Amino acid sequence: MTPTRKRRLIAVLVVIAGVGLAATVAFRALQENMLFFVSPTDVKEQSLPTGKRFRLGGLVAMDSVSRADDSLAVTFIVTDGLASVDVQFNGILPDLFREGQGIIAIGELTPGGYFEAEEVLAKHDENYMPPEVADALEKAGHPDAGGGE
Amino acid sequence: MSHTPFILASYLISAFVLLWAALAPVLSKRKLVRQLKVRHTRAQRSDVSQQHMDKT
Amino acid sequence: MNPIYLFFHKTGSPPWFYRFAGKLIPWLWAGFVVLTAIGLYLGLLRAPPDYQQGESVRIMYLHVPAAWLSMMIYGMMAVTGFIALVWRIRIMEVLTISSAPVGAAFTIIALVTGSLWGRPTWGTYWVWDARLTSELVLLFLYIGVIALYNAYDEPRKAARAAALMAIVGAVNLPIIHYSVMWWNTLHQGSSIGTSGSSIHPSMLWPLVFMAFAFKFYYGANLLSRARLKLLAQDHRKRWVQELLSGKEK
Repeated sequence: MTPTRKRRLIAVLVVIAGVGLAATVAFRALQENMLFFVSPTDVKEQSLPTGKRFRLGGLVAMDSVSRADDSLAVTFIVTDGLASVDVQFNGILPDLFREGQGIIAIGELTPGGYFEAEEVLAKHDENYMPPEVADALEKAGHPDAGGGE
Repeated sequence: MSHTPFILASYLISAFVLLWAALAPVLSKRKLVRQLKVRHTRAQRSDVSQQHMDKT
Repeated sequence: MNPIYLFFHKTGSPPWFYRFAGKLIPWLWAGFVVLTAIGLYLGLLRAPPDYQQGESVRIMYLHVPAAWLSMMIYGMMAVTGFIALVWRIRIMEVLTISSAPVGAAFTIIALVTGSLWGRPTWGTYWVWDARLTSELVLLFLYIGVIALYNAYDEPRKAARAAALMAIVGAVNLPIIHYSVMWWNTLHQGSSIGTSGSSIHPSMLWPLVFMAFAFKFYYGANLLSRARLKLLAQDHRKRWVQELLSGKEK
């Protein structure tokens, strides 16, 4: 094989590998993540089987977070306004985790009826503002005050 | 969690990528011009010697 | 001759383009430096921390402009690629292929800064949600365009093949943009849209300056890459020979 042909062959293989990789990644995304998470309503309506991993998304219900004194264990309720799911988690929560915050919990339903999370991610919203502005908005009762500290 | 390392890393990596992308064409142009100039002078020299030979 | 055609004819002439771009590049770099200086000053020193994200909001001043530009450059590549394919204008072929590395660089910046923002904010460096995945596919498309170009020996054929791939890959652009609306994603929705912005002005201004700064960077880098390509392709032609024997380097 001449050096030019060899170079061409390698280049074509790189292209094929790249396109293949892109397609695989896209396919993966289509398969798993067209719906990145399911809501508590979906959980209730579809009666998802226990022991199957999925992502649960929703808001952390107000006054529902309770932490264990002696460990990292924490329980809270994830709600979408219509239905709610009890969640147990044992690990480090992201900075943005707080009551009223949108979160995504990855884990599975247990026979006990609660959701055992292996990982908890906080969902951020599209609002950006300084803390003083957020405080002022909250005082004025503006719905955009979000996190609600 | 302190955010400083994440911010610092973001700015450093971005600066590095931008610097590298900006320097790459400058450096390869310098190299190309040097190569072409060498070839150019060599070609001229052979032209001159060709003419010289024709005359004699 | 029709004036539009005349314009294309003139800018399409490599020696003219080479000289014109050479004059423009220093101004574009100057614009980039000034805008970046203002943007960094506002973003790192003047802008307040965010009420939720805290200081990590400062990553946004790199992430958002880079992500915008990564898509804009791909769009530009598709447009110049289309012109190159239909009208066979060589400058457009050169511009198409010269855009790809710059676009790839901004895609890498968008992915890396997004990941570094995600760790403290979301609690993870990476998730396979529709927004993040489609932006990663964009990086592979850029790499594919560059690799396809390098697969051919004849530069004009190579540029046309790369242009075709650029056009086909442009379907990914609306997917990236609308991914946050079409699917449930961890990535938040757009803050800036036709109905205004949900970013406080103190944080919006540094973002705007950085966005324009990056556009100047793209212009300057694109033109210097295009000049290099022209020089390499035309090294046997008279205008390059004259350039080399002259004072200009």
